[in-house]
Amino acid sequence: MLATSTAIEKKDLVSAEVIEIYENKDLAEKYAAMAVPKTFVGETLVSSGLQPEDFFVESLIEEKAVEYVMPEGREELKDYDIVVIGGGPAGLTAALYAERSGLKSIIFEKANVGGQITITPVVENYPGVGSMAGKTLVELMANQTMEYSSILQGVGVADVKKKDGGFEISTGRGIYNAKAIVIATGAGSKKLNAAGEDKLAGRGVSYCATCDGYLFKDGKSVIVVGGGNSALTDALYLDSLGSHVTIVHRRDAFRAEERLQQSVFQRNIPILWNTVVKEVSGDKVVEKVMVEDTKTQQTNAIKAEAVFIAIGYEPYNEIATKLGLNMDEEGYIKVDDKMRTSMPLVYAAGDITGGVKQIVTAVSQGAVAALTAFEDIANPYWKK
Amino acid sequence: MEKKLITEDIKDALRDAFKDLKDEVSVEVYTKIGVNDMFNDITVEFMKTMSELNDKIKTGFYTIGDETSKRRNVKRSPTVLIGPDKYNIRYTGAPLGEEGRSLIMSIIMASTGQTILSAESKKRLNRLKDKRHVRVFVSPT
Repeated sequence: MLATSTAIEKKDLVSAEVIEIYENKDLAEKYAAMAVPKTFVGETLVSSGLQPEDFFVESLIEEKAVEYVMPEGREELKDYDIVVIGGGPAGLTAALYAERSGLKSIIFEKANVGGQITITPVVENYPGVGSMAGKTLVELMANQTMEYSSILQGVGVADVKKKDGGFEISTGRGIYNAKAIVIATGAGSKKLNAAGEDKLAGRGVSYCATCDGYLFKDGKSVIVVGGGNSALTDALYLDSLGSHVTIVHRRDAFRAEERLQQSVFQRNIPILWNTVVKEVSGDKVVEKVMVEDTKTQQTNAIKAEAVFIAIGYEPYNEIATKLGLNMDEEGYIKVDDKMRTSMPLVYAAGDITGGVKQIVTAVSQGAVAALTAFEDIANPYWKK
Repeated sequence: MEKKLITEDIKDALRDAFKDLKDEVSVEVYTKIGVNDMFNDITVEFMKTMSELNDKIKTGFYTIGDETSKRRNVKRSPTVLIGPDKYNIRYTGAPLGEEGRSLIMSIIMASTGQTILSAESKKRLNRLKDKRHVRVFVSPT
């Protein structure tokens, strides 16, 4: 609606076109826009994902992607008690608890509020809500947080430095200051590191079946790689869309929940056990996938129009690395039971701390992090 | 099928949303038989219903290849143009899911001239001096 709004405001200068990819596959292929949403100004990609309004307008004017937007006319408040980095369940809860403790907070979310839940079709294990679409649960959480705190969606944090007993945070909206920081940056999909994977990303290679699966409904052949909850959920979702799904898994058994396994077996979704993907190939889009049997080393080409990769997560630990926080061997931030990291006044919560990566644990950790921050700001334990 | 697409509850909500329409808005729907037929049907049905809900929404239906489509440079089926004599707003593909909501909002904004942009963004937009074409790729999910 931002695009059409600008076409109305500047009717002689701006033309806006909203293109549905399923019915216009040739255009989606031409612009490598098989993963949506994607916004182009002229022929230039300015955003993959939702953009905040001022970023969109600025990229429209500049005809390029922008990472920083100067506030127009008004000076925003830049001093906070707590800056929360990441707007998933952990971050949303941390800000909620911070504000309710009397601490002024703000959340920076570089992509979409909700994090990993937004791409979860149905959440069935969050107590109290029964069965609910991930997006709906996110909306509920975000609305509740926004009653207290501010969320800057689409605004990333580039750097955090210690300054005057607090922190200086460089963001897409300028420099902010905070007494304490909660890092809730989460974790993202791991890559396969197979040949052709990067080249065909957005052209059939996807890390989000919920986002991109629709394009491959009704009889298209797709491959899901992985054996955990995400992979099986993706396989079931794609199967329900009518795609011809094959699961490729490197082991001889799934590690997903029993219930998901049963559903996959009941629907007779073909499974290639002990098999890894060696290469994804195609001219402009995915056409075939080369797999290898890990026992016999025999390779085999499978025709497929899409490959959905769900082989686990890796931590988004750039900020933690910049601050020099202690991390485990996989790169997750080490925390104590009060969500304190190795640096005073820096807390971590949610998937970035590793562990079971559940919504219910993320919100719990977010709450603990904010309450500990409250405690520490008032009584600095490291000064005793 | 028709009744399933837009229920009475939704119609009531839309009537309410359209009650503040100001100027007439012409909405042109372009289709071609044999290309995305299912989506053509949905789009035609959707836009017919819109025009029934408020008489300020004036809908025209055209075939790709006819004179109007050539004049408007429409080649893809289905395509919806909003206020094409005044604005350059085009929905290429059926307005399903989130795009249905976006299209309805665009009709309202085209009629009222009021957009969702903040005063700050409008001020920022004054720096724009050259023509721009924005393409937003979407899917119904």
